Amino acid sequence: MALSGFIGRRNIQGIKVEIEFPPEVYANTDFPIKIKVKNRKKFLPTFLLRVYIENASVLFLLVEKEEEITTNFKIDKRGSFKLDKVNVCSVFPFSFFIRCQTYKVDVEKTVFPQPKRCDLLEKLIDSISKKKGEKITDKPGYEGDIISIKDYTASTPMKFIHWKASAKTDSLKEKELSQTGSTPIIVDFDKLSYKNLEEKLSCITYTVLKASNSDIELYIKYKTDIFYTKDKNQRLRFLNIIANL
Amino acid sequence: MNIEKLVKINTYLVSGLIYVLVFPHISVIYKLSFLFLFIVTLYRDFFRDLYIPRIFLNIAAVILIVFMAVRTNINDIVTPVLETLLLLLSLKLLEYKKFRDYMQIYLLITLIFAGYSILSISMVFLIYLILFIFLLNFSIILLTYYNEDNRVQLTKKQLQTIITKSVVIPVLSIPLTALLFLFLPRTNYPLLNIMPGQSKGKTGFSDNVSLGEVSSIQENNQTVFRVSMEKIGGEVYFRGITFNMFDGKSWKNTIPENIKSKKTFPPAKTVSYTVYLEPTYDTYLFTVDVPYRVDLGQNRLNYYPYFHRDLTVTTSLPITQKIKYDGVSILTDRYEDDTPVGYFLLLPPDLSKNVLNYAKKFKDSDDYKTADNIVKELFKLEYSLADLPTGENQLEKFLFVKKRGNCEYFATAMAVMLRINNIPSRVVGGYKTSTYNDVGKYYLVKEKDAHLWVEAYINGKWVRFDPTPPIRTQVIQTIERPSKLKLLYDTINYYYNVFILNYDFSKQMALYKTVGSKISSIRKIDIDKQKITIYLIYIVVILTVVSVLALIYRYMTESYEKRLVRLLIKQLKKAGVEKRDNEGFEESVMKIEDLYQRDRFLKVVRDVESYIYGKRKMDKVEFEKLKKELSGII
Repeated sequence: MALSGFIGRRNIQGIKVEIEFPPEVYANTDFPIKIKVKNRKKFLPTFLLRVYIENASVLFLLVEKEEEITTNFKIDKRGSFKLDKVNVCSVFPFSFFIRCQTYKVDVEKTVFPQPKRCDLLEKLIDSISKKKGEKITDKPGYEGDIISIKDYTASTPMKFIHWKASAKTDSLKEKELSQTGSTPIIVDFDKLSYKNLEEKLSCITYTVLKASNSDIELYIKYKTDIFYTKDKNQRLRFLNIIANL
Repeated sequence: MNIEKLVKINTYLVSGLIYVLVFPHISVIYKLSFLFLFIVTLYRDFFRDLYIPRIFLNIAAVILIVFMAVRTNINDIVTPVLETLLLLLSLKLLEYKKFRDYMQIYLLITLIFAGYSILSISMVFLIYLILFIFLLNFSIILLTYYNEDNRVQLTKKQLQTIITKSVVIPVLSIPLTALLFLFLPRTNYPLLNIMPGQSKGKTGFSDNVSLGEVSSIQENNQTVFRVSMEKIGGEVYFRGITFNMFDGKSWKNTIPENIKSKKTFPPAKTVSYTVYLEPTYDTYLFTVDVPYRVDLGQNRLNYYPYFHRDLTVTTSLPITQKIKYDGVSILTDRYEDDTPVGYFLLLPPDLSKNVLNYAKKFKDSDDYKTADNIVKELFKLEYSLADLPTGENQLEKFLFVKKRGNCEYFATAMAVMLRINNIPSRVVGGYKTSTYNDVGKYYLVKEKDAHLWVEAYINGKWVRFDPTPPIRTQVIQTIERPSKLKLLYDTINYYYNVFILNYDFSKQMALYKTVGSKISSIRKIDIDKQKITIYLIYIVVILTVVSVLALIYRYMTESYEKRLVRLLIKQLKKAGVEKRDNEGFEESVMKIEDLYQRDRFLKVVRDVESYIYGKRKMDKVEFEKLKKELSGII
């Protein structure tokens, strides 16, 4: 008994827990975190260790030097999230007792608002296309009309080969298409009106993310600043601001 | 591997082992029942699922326990309990098992093992004990994993690490247990002095000895006792029992206990000794011939010893456990005694005329000479353990037809012939050996050393005569010559016995006292600075030696590549370059300003790298070469 107590105690000592969060974290949305346990004991490994982070837990079967487990994690509230300790527990060696110990970790994270599907972007696009329609640029791209035909270069996907022209000239030709562009949209954050702040933040977050993944050039005006959503730094700066509202 | 499967396999393994262990001690019906249920369990778990309602198993278990309670009597508690536990174990194995069921199984196994410890008193038990501590420890650790999450999959490597590293628990617990053995309070009376109720283990002497019987004793190579004493020249006689009455086929003792006699011993050498007796399930205590005093120490409370007038010693109860006793004996072959001689002259009623006439031929001027004549004549016959005279008139057949026999024929012939010549005589049963263990300083006595000899009552003295031809010793040696290894094993066994048997309550109290006085004297001591300094120096020296050895060991077991890398870092430092963790060796070498040095370093580094990143392994020759080169740079 005494020995199992001693071994059990030793088992959860001399370890280090590190937690790694992804760069962008959204409220109420699952995201993966990496939990790393390092064993600093000379002879004994750490057996059967459960690491509790808030209300999630992961089980390490055996940590000789270093083990890493990725698990899903969710934070309910937007804003600043701070994790300064984790509990590690183990029933090793004989399941008679459960022993726990708290370890310090250092995680500080801004949790962005939960993105919720809304039709803000569609509305904006609609309102613009009614006015001007699609704008076609003369820059080369992949979606617009053919602006010229040129010799094929090996790096171009096959679908751009202009077969007709190639057949005529006996050498491979490719189509050069124009880029479709869209009119930049600027949204004034303060002027959007929603039932409540959370709705508004969720919708704007969704819109920002959606826009950043499409060709829509969305700018958001917040107070005196304007953020370009396609630029990662600007986007994150904006999300940071609204996360803490 | 799936943890559940691992737990199962391991549990069945341990259960199977415990079954094998208690197998010789349980009755056939239990043996078969366990085996049957065990096979059903294995079939169920690994081939095809069978549904067995728990309630049936529980009812069966209750019936078993009631049956055990009915069947148990005070004389034999262990076997029924053991049998019942074994069947309970098999029922438990049959259940669908959860964590607590496995725990109960391990508990049952532990109990069975404890029961087995009462039945088995040999040193092999210690080996089993250690094995079981390791196995159970591993089982419970696996179970802990299982309990935490029963879907756990362990890789082979993880399993290996768990096995090898968790060994630390039993390794630490065994010395702790030994310590507990020393310090846990023990009673003066053995609580578990339960007779395992077996007479089947019984060999050796009994109240009467038939002709030809001793040879069957002698076929047995079991150890009867060991006697710790100084070595005395020649063979030593160990006295056990005497017989006065011969009916033509077997010897008995018919002398009433109430006859008292006065004895006087001649001045002769005395020896003190300690006998470590294995359980004989009989009451005889063997002593060096002729005994003067016997002391059972603590054991006298259980086995009240009785010193008989024929200089034999018996206990009040059969000896069912290993015991030890001390004795003092006088090394002589005769002693004075005023026994009434009538009991020692009786002849068997149907003694043949041939024997009568034959015996009378040895009559001489005095009784000593007559006895000597008989011994001389008997020495001419052949000593043999096989093809012995049987049936009617065995004595006659022995003397005139077969002319061969073992000790009881010789002893009987002599005793009878002495009586025919009117010399009172008796036959003494015991052991005779010269097997001395020089390492352990003890005589090893086995069943094959069983022996009968004769005592003749001449001029008021009982005088020992051994009419068995001396060739006996060689013949017996051939039964089984002890090899060196066996002797060594026996020595270990002996020390184990000595330790277990000698460690009683009084020893424990003595230990407490010494420890207590040591502790209190530490407080009182006015510190002798010089002594402490010396001790400290000792400690420092020992620690230094140990750590140097550890370092050497570490160095020797490290791969050549690793050693070179360390050397390289050291040499680089000497050259004024500290290698950083994130930089390669070549980068570091490039920082050396001396171009000549840099080139030589670079050469070595490339060589070392070709080993580290290549497929070849560095051998000693290459290692020495590179090492020399490296040391030569600076």
